[in-house]
Amino acid sequence: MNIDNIRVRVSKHYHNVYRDLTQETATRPKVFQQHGDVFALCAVLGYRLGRCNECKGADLFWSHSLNKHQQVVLMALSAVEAGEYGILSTPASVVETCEGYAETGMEYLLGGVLAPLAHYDEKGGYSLRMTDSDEVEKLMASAIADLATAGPVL
Amino acid sequence: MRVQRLELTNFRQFEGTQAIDFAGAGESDPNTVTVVAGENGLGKTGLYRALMYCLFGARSLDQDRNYESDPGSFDETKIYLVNLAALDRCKPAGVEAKVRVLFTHDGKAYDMSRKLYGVLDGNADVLEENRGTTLHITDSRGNTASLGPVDSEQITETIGAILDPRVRDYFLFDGERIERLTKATTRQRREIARGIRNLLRIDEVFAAAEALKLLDRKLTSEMQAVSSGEYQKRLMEKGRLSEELSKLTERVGHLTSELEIAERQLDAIDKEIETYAHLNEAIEKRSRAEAERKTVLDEKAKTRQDLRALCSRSGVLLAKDLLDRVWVDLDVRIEKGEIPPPLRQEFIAKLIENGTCICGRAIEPDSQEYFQLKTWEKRVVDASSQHGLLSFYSDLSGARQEADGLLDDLTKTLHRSAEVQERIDSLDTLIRQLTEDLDQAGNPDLKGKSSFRTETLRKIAKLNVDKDTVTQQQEDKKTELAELERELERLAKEANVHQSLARQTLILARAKVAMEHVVSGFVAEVRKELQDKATASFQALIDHDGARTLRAVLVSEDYSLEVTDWRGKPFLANVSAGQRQILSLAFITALAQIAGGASVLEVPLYMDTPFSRLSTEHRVNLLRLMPQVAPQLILLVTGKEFGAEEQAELRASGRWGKRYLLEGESQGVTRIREQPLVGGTRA
Repeated sequence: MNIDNIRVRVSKHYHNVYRDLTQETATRPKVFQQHGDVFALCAVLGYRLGRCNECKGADLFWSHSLNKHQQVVLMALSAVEAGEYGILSTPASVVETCEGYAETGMEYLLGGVLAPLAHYDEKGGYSLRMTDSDEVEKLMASAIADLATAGPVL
Repeated sequence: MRVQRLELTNFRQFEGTQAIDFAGAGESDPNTVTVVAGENGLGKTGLYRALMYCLFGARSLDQDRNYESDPGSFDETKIYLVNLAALDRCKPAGVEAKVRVLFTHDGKAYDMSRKLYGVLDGNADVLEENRGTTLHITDSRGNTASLGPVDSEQITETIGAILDPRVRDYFLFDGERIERLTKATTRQRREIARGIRNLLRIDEVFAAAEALKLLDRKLTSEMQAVSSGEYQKRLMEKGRLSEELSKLTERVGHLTSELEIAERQLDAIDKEIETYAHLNEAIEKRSRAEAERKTVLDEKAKTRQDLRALCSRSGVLLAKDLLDRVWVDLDVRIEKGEIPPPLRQEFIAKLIENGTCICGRAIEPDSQEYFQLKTWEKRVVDASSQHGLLSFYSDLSGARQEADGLLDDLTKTLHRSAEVQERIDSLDTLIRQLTEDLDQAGNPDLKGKSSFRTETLRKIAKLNVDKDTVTQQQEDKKTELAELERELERLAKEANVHQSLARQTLILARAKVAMEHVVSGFVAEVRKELQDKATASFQALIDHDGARTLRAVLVSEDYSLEVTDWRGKPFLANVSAGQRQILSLAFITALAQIAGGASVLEVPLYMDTPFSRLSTEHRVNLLRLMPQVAPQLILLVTGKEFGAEEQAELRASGRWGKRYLLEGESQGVTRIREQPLVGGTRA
């Protein structure tokens, strides 16, 4: 049971944020290895917030770039959302559910930990303006540790 | 020579007329020690300078040159003798300065004065001019002979006969000189050699040996002119060998001078580097901090990399509760037997398709049984789905474990990151502070100095190798020359030519060899006597701890000082700075004993701040020994080094006669104040 070979959609105005978090420069390494890492985090954050927005986004990456554990997380998330395990038989539905959660997760990041770096442009949507001295990974890791130790989300 | 009184008028720091009356002025005077206490810069050394100026007209002392890295560049006109405060007060007319010395020698009383006049020119430079010398000599019957400025040559001769000007600097020992004596440098060896030769007046012996060599060369040359054949050939060879030997000797001398200069430069650069020792420490500290910062920055980069890896896996980490919840749900279902389900989809489908129950009864479409079967069919998943759920259940376990480990890793990595950042901040603060301190101290170019020092050390090593090589060549030539002289002696007999001249040459050659033996024998004798006296003084001076290890003083053939341990092995490299000073003082004492004991020289011994590096026991020992050795001892001390214990010890010696205090009255003006000796030999 897996969710391979599905195009994962993300709202167009978040595409640049995904790019900025997964792109390295000559002096600054990328914070996340690939889009799937950002997506999985956002989906879980959205789930923890209990908000799932409809995603009218555009294809950003293939679901097979998600590793096994991330796929399991997304499947668990969609099963809970659906209230039954039948959804797992239709990977597209799993991904669709998670896309909605990932939208709110990204919204949460941009309004919180990434807010100091976030820049909004009518045409390009959101992007991040990072300098070499910004230790984004440290900010992200601290925020994640705070959430992880804050208490269980049921 | 016993100095009674030193009177200074506007000389150096001493404005107006001030005087010191020395203890031990009379030969039967039991009190021979005068203590002059004063802090640095108040003119303690100036008192010795005044004595040397009056007796010899010397504007500078050997010590002044010692502080120059290049003695050749030393300019003694930079040393002002006229008191600057008096000069300033009396400008533009100028002021007269004078030093007067009253002393006795060989039953006669001497009253000598030397004057100079100083003015300040328009550029505030000091110009000084000698104003003549006078000397009044009174014999035991009261007859006085007076010599004035026109008799300056006679005055110089008279004083020179009492005290050889070549050893005038040898009676002032400051810390610098004392320390130099135990450093195995070319300069040290030369100094000791000079000390022995001049102080004991054996340099005439060396001069005689040199004269014989000259005479030998002259005779050889004459013999060449009147000889022929093999003898002449050998004589020419001798001339050539002598010439080569002379060149090699000159080369050794040249290398020795170069070595001396290099060692002096090394000494000077070491001193300079030492003045920046505190900065050196700061520079080293900063370098260490910078190196550590680099390491910590690498650690920080590693931590950031770890954090990025954790960020990429953070979706799983934050889903821990979710994963647990789903896993528990599935676990319960499996426990209940719902997965795999009791009814299989294909079995239900078969019943619906056949329209027959397992009991054989028909199942009509739209019947209650039919709808029940249809409901069951929807509820159970197919076989592949059942298999998939079990696989999902297993994957959930793996993901839960991953989430557990990730939280632990994240916590530890964040903690490490905070520690690393804290260390970097602390190092940055330290580096900034040290940089500010160094900037404020200017730029002493320690790196440049250190590199110059390394170069100088290399140069010294090379010069030593060169000198050893040339010395060896010199020795080889000497051996060759000796063989040739024996050959010449044989040839002269055989040829029987120019017997008279040949005889003279032969006698001279033998005299030369004999003289060399005399010189080496005499020097060896003096060395032995010096060693014995120095060892006795050393044993009297050294403290109990040192006495357990250190036994005897050796004066080597190359005039370097050595001390042996209880096994008779050289031990100088292992002794402390204080023990080195004691070794030097023992040597000085030995020199004074030999010179004074032979009545060759009887001059007050000045010791300038001799206690600074000595332990209390060493100081006490020195204070016990020195008054017995020197006919007159003048101790120039700072208050810090001459405390209650030292005073008590000197008092107990029964030799302390006078005490003076030098007080700074105003800028550049020192006042000499006599202080009564309380509880001592004088009320």
